[in-house]
Amino acid sequence: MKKMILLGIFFTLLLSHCSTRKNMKALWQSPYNIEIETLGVGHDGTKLVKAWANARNPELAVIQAEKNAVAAAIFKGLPGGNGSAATPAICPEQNKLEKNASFFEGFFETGGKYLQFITLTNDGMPGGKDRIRMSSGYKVGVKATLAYDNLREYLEKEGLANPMDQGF
Amino acid sequence: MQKRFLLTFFLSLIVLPAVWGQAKKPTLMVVPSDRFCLSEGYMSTFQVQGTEKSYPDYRQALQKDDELRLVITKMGSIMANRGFPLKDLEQELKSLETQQAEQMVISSRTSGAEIYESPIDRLRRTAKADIILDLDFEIKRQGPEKYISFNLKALDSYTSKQIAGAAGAGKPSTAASADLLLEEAVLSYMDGFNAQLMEHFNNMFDQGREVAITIMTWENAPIDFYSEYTYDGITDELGFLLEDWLAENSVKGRFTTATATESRMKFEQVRIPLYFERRGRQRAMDTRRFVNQLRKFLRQAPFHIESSIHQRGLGEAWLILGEK
Repeated sequence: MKKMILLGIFFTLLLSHCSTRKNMKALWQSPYNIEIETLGVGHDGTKLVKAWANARNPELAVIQAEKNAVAAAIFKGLPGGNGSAATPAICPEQNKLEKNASFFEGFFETGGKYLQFITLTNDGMPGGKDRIRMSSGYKVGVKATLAYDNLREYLEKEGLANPMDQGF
Repeated sequence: MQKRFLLTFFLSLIVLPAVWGQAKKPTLMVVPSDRFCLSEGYMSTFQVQGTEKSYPDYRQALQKDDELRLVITKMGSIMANRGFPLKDLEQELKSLETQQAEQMVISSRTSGAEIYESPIDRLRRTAKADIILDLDFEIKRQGPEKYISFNLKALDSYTSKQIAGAAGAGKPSTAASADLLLEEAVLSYMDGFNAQLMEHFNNMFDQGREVAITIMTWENAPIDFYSEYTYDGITDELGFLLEDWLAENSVKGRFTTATATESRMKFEQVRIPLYFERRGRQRAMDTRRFVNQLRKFLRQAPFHIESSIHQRGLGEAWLILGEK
């Protein structure tokens, strides 16, 4: 009887652990779960941001952080902070990503078109507080300049974002 | 079957651009706020019926204030990039002055007649835009640091509603110049501000343009809004029949009666369609065109009322009943 109870507790804990891991994995993989901070605004429609990403190694995390910064500008918007106002998403419509999955898959391919709209402020590997060792890899924060206006204009030309003067 | 499909496709390509009109684009102009003019001393004082009154002196503000000019230029370039070049207040004021001077010297070759200008034309010869961007900013200090307090409102000239806004304080700095801080403030706030403006335009395309209509009577008019008529089997006062017409002709029947007396009816939040059809072609609608339909309606039986339209811009018109 005691064995059965212990076995029951063990399986319950195992299941809840699996469920937590599954939830965490879903959270990490969600294109909307982006950690980003606005550091300032620049000339010609550029924004200075700091984006974070998790990956097996720091190199992959940097690549993912760049993608995250561009994805945030398109789907989520950039939060306000450091004296800058919040920036709205370029494509604020619901399910834009899902509806145009094939376009965005190509756009966000490693080494893809997204790189045209983001520039890292330095080429070195982030260190100190911007490089955190996790149990499953690294969490890395990178500072980058985002060409927000150019990105908006590109998506308007591709028909994925609505220009402000549409209909006039 | 395929041939017919191709024929329909090509015909639609030719016909559609001719049939579809485009909505009238509102004009936008940056105007320094009254508070800005007052705090910076850009005011002019006049005697109006024995009382001293102060008004913002925009010309003085634009000529003397470098920072104001910088903000307007920066905003102008951002808005032009988004497809909405701003009307420039300074140029508009200059152009009005030149127009006035030119109008005074022009005369016809045949009889030497001068250009006719009614008192109302003279009164309306002012700088105006459909959407006013009311701008206010101040360079504040906190110890050794400077920061910008920024306040920008987009106001619909006809409904007086605020359709977009951006306000806040910038990042304090000891080293940056005031010009740099101002530029940063504009760059920082304009994206959010434009998103709100875009939301307003989308709402307009969805629910029609929001306008104001005032109907009045000439003092010698033989009718008033309490006069009774029988239209379409319903006998009622003219005021109520006008409301019925608006309910049928506005988008989704939306309007609010703000004033209803025997001599004046004011309708606000009237949603008018963006297009109308003329000779089989879709054309952009404005309040004057919309009120013209009401004017034609009132000319018919059983009303037989003559009236004249006075346009006050893209979004407001007056209809005065009794005679032309």
